Amino acid sequence: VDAGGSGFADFVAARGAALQRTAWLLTGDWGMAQDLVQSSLARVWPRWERITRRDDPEIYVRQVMVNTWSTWRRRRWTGEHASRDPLDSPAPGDIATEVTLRLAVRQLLATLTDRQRTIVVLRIFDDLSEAQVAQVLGCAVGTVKSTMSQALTKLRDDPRLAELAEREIR
Amino acid sequence: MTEEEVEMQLNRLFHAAVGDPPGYVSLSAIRRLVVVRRIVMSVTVTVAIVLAGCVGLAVSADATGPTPASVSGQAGAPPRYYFEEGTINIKASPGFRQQNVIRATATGAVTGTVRCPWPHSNVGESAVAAPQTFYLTCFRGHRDAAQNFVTTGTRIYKFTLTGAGRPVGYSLVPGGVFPGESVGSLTVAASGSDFAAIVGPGRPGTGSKILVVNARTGARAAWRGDMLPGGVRFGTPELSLTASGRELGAFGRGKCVKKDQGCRSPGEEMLVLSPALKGGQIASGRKIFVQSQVVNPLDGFINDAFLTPDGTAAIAGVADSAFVGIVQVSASTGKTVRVLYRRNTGNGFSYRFLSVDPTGKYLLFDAGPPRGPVNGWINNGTLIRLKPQDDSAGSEAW
Repeated sequence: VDAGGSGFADFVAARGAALQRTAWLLTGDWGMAQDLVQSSLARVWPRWERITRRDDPEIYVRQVMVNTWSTWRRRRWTGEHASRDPLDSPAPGDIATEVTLRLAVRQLLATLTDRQRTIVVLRIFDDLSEAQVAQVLGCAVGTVKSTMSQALTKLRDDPRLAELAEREIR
Repeated sequence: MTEEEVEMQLNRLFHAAVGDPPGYVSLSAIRRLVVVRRIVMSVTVTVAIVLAGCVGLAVSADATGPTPASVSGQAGAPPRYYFEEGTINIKASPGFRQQNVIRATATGAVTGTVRCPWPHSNVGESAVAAPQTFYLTCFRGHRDAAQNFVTTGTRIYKFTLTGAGRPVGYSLVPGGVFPGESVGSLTVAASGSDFAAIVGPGRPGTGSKILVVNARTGARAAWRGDMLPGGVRFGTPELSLTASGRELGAFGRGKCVKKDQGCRSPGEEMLVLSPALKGGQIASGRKIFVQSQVVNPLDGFINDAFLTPDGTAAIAGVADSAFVGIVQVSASTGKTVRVLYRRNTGNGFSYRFLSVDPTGKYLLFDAGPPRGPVNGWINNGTLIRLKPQDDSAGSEAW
C-alpha cells in the first residue's frame, strides 16, 4: 500500500494533528477523534494521487471525515475495535483547569445538532469559508449561513458561554 | 453579544480547550486499516459472486416449469412485486379513492403507478403471465339516463416491471381490441401464449361469450351457450388457463331454470374446456367438481377457483359460517387433496379475493372474520400479512 508515495506521508505529518483537533471538536473524545482521522485517511489513501490533482486535498479529506462521522453517528453500535496501544497517555502537571474548560466546551457543543456542530467547527475553528464548508458538507452556501446563524443564536443564549467568557477574563 | 463577538469568543475557547492530541495518527496504523479494508472488500465481493451464482442456478432450475408437487404454499421467495388494484384507503380518506399501483411484497412500498395508455380509459382487470408480465383491461364508457354504465370499448394492454418495480413497456396485445364491448374475468396463460375473457355487449344484457385469444397472432375462438345438461344455467364463470394455454378452466354457479322437471341446482362448479383455442359449446366441458364435493352446501361457498398451471388440480377459496380457507382439489377425482390454508372465523366471514401467481406456487388472499379480515400471501399454511395493513385492496395479482 503505497499509493501517493511520500506526498501522503507528508500530508499526514503536516495536517494530522489539525485534523485530530477538528475531529475532537466533532466527537468530544480523543480516542474517537484519532479513529475518525485514521479511518478517513485510510479511505483517501488509495486515491491520493487523484485527490491531489484537485485544488485543495484537505477539503476533500475533511469532507470524507465529516461523512464518516455522520455514518458512525447513524449506526447503533459505536464501531469500537480493540487496540494494542493505549490511546491516552498520562498528562503532565495539573490539568484541572484544562479539563474543566474542555468539558465545558464539549457540553456547549453537545447542545447543537450534528450539522450545526460540524458547521460551527469548520467555520470557526478551521476557519473555512462558507463556500468551502458548503463543499465539505455537499450543501448550498445559503444552508451553511442559515445553520450557522441558528447555531450562534443557540450558543449566545446559553449561559455557559457567558460563564466561560468571564472565567477567561479572570 | 453580536454574532461576530460570539464567533471570536468561540474561536478563543476552541483553541484553548483543544490543546494537543495525546497521540498522533501514524502512517502504519492507516496502512493497517487500508489493508483490512481491502481484505474485507475482496471477501465481500467473493461471497457476493458465489451467492449470485447460487441464485442463478436456482432461477434456471425454476425456469424449467412448475411441478404438481410445488402447488402453492412452498417456502421460498414470492414474487418481488404485486399489482394492487383499486385501493380503498379507508383511513386516509373516508370516500372511495381508486389507485392502481405496484407494491413491493416485502415492504409494501409503492414502486409505480399503473395507468392505461389508452386516453380517457379506466383500469379494469388484470392477469399475470410469467415473469411478472401484467395484462390489463382498459375500458371507456359513460352512464346512461337510467344510471347504467355503458361500455363503449375495451382494450387489453400488457406491461412488465423493471428491477425496481416500475411498470414499463406498455403495448397493445394482439387481438385485444373490443369496440363497443365489455371484457371481464381476464386470465392469461403463464407462458403468455393465450389469454381468455368473458366478452359481452357494452350495455347490460345477455349475449356474453368466452373468448380465447392467441396473444401472438390475435386469432380468436369462442365458447358459447350457458345451458348445461339437466336444465342448469351456468352463470358468469371465472376463468383460468393452464401454462400452455391448452386447457381453460371455467368456474361459476349452476342454477336450475326448469325446477319442475326435477332439476337440482349444483351450486358452484368447475368445468374444463379443451382444447381452449378450438372453441365450442360450454356444455361440452369436463366437470372437475361441484360444490357438495368441496364444502357443505348448506352453509358453505366456493368463492374462487383456478386451474393450476399444469392442469392437474384446482385451487379454490372456500368459506362457511365458521372458517375461510384455500383448498387444492384434484382435477381427476374432484376430491380435496390438501388444505393450503384455514382460518377459523367464528360466526360469519368476510371474503374479498384469492389470486395465484403464474407458477401456481404463491397465493394472495384477503378474507377473515367480518370485523378483522386479513390480507397476505400463503407460506406453508401460514398467512404472511402484506403491508400496509390499513389498506383494503380491491384485488391483487402477482
